[in-house]
Amino acid sequence: MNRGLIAIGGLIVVLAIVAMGLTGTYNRLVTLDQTVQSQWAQVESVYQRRADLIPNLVSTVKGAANFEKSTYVAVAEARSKVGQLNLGSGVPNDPAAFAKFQAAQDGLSSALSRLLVVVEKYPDLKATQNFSDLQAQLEGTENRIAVERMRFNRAAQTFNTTRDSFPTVLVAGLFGPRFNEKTYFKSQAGSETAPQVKF
Amino acid sequence: MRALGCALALLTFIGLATAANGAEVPVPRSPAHWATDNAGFLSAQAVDALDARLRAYESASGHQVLVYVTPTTGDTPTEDWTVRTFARWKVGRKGLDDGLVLFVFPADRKVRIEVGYGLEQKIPDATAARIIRDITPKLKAGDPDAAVTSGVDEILRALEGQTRAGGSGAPGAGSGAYGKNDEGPRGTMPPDPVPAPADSGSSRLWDIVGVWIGVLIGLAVVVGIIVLIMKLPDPPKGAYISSRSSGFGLWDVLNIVGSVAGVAAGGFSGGGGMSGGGGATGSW
Repeated sequence: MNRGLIAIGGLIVVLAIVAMGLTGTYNRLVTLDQTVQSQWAQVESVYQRRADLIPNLVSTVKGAANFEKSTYVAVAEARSKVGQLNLGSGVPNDPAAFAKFQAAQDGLSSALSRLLVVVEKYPDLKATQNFSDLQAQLEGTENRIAVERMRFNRAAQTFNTTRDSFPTVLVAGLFGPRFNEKTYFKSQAGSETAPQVKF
Repeated sequence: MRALGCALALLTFIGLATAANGAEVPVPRSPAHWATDNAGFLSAQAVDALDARLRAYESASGHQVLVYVTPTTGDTPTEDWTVRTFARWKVGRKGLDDGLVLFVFPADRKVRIEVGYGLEQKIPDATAARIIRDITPKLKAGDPDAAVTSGVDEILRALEGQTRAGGSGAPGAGSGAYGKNDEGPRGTMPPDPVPAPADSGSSRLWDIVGVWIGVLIGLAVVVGIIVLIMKLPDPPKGAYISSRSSGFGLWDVLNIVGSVAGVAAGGFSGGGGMSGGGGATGSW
């Protein structure tokens, strides 16, 4: 047996093992990336659900006598900022786009919570069937947002843990921004606590 | 001898993964009945009647509807506790997510309706909130049997599409387009927090070779774990996410055994459904 032949054979075996490793790593990253993307779609859909509630909410409080105009105007403005977001599909891979998305949505959250504080001063409005239905929908939607964000963060963490582990981290960079580290939702200071009514 | 060592290490690993799982979700195991009262809140007759009714409802409609009474959720916020509990029990059918649980927490004086993704159209939040507003006066008046029974009446009526007259705007959240990536009703695309194994695209040969590589990696992992266990007396905290997604732990085995036993005995067992935090909460 020729020594050179053995060396070439050994090299081929080593290359084959490396190629198999690459394939496996790539496929694993694709699977985890798909999980993150589908969870991101869930996040977008629950935020969209909230945005869809705003027009009805604004017209309901507008109907109440002397309702403070600035609060619902702020909600409508924050809603239109959310509507203008046009970030494409790669948001979880792009920290800048992600920050924009979260800033706009958090803006709507705080405008909404200010409005709900003001509503406390209008017991007649609160007592109507229409408003209590709206309030139930808003509460449910905020709860859904919390759930889907939590699940998104979990999927993103699973992806990032795999992506940043050795030796995957050496491979992940070869495929462009698709396998960038995923960004997480951060809870805003004070956003976890319900709005307080002070007199 | 070596094989025995590997097996022991593997058992230890499964034990660690199970411990981490338990720390993540402090929620009860799946109930064996459709109606459960751990708090002695309802009369035994009421629980039995509800159980028989909800069992019959599942055989007739396929929807899994549960009543679960337990004293408290502890320090965990109600909604957080119920969505995790629902996820562990997997109420509703897989892919349809047509489950629903009426939770009552007497010590917290709270009640919650947790709605699976697939039933959000039939029981939107406003409907769930109305049902809760209807039953809280009875809870306040000290008539829990009537409260929970009438709550179940209303839930089943709403599921059959008989909405109460006089409502306005209730289905608002249930209609219209959501995300651009949604392809249909929400029930058809449940999010799966556990990534499915990659399929297709690779030939049989790759699969076989992959298995052997997997075995080699597995052996390396076992050796690594033995080293880790020798170095670390305590299991690492906060590492539950990776272990949860990758480990098929003792807990899952127990769950499957329990489910099979439950079916054999005619008890409740979750069908693989999910909820996304839909529903409503009330207090009395």
